[in-house]
Amino acid sequence: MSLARRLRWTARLLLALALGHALPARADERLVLVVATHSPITTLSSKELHKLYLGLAVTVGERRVRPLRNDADELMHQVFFQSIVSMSEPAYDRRMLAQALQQGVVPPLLGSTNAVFDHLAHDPDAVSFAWATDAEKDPRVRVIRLLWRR
Amino acid sequence: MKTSITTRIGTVVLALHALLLPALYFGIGLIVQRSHADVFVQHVRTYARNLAEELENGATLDSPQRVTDFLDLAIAHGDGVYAELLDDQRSIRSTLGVASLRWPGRNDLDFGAGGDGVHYLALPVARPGHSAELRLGFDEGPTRAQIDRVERHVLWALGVYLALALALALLFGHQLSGPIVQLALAARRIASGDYVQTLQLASGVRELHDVGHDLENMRGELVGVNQRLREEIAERERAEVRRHELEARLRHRQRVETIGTLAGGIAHEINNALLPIMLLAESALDELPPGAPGRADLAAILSSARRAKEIVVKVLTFSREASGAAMEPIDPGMAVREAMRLFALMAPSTVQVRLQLAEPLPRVRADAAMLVQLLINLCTNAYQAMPEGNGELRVSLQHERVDSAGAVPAGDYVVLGTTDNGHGMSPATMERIFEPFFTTREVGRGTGLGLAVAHGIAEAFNATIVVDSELGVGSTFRVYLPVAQAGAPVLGVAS
Repeated sequence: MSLARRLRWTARLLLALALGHALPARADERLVLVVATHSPITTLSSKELHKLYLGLAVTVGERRVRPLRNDADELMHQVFFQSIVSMSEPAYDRRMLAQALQQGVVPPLLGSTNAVFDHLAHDPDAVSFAWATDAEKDPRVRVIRLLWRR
Repeated sequence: MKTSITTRIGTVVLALHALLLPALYFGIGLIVQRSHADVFVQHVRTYARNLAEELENGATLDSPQRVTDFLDLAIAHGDGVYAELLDDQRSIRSTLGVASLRWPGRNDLDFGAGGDGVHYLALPVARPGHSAELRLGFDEGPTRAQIDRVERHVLWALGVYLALALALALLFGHQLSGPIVQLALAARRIASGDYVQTLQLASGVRELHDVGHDLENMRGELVGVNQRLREEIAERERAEVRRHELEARLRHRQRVETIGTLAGGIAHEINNALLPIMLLAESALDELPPGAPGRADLAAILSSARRAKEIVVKVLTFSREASGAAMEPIDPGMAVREAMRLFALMAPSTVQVRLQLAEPLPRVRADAAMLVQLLINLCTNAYQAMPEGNGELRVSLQHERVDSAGAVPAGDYVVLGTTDNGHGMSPATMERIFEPFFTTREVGRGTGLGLAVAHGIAEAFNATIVVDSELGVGSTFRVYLPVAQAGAPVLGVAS
């Protein structure tokens, strides 16, 4: 876990302790899997998605799928660990560190949904996730499955 | 408020740990809680993921009975307390879970987020043409109990650590204060006069050892200075006593000399008056025939005149007006033996005389006849001091060297001593014993000239008479006769 992440986690914990609530609520809390509109990818199973974000190879047809991590907000950050990789954050960080040291594939981390959509628009083999409200109104991306909802 | 070093160190350690240990306990507790929470979350998420994938990939969803069995196994194989599968047509729930639980409509993203002891999470199950949601609930109790247990262990460990730290602090304080207390006790003993007390410290602390070493050096210096000061004070006190003695002797000498001068003048005039009386009385007595009236009166006049003449001679002797003193080196032993022979003739048999003469003795410069008279006068005075003439008189003659100037100037002396066990003298009497005509005897029993004549003779010899006396015990007279120097000129009678 990076220092910045630790600080953020600590701040979040202190905030949660202070306010008694973990995370802010959203109007429509549905996290969906998105690809570029023109992407040949039509669906991915939970198992494929899991392998993909663990850095393992997943192919659709003859093309290898490239995962992008959307870290636009804290709730999305938490849902990623709970529903997509189904790991605790420290366990995932340890795995990614080992992956990086073994020169494996580590999913790139993007800090905003717009940046994710830009990246998807230029890479038809890439997949990522976003809040359904953001994905459904952006023509550059297409929703291929529901990942999580409150 | 004054406190000991041990108390202070203990207080500081206690205060420091009172500040640090809660923070340490909180920090360790946080780490323990987070690590256990991470393990729990990792476990339940992996477990739930596996279940969801199995539902997606298997044929379980095709039969409600299979779903029920699947959910029952999900509860039985894990820490699950709630399992439900929800799709568009139905809701199937395991009966093995806690019956009272209801889906709370939330997804717990962290350990303990729900606050009800159950960690809920829902995973979408997507199959072509069929979507469902797997809802699971896991008991946080065992993990919470484990966290509490570890926190208790941490608390115990910190308590033991605090006790050990305090014990070590007290031990260290004791080791530090012990030598200082030892130093303070030694300093107090030194202050109370025990200068032998050493200030060396048996301490392994270098600074304390150095302090002890320096203080010991300082003690040595102080002891030396103190000793020198004491010696100087004692010397000054001795000098002061000597000065007082010399002043008293000077005053006494001046008084005796004044009296001697006065008495000598009077005696000289009386002597001049006595001469014609005696000559004319003798002449008239020679001219009167035997049995003539008046002859007895003339004989009485002549006798009284001769008696007066004797007194005049004694007074002149006291006032050093006596003539004919033959000062020459003599053997004092011979003079003392002669004097004692004469004294034995006049002293009653009740007086026990003990003579102690050291032999050989150096010669002294004196007139032998006058030395005999001096000793007879001292012996007579001693005999008269004895009650009813009974007692012991010791006469001694010995060689003595006086080093420090006191009552007697430094030099070589032959000391003539008389000691009696008579009634002794008071200090007031001792002040006046050498004054002419001073006597403690009743009127008519003495002339009071014996010791005055002895003093006059001693002065003529350049000798010193030292008197010690105690009432009821007796008196001691010591005459310090200077030893005659070989080849020294013969001195005449001092004026």
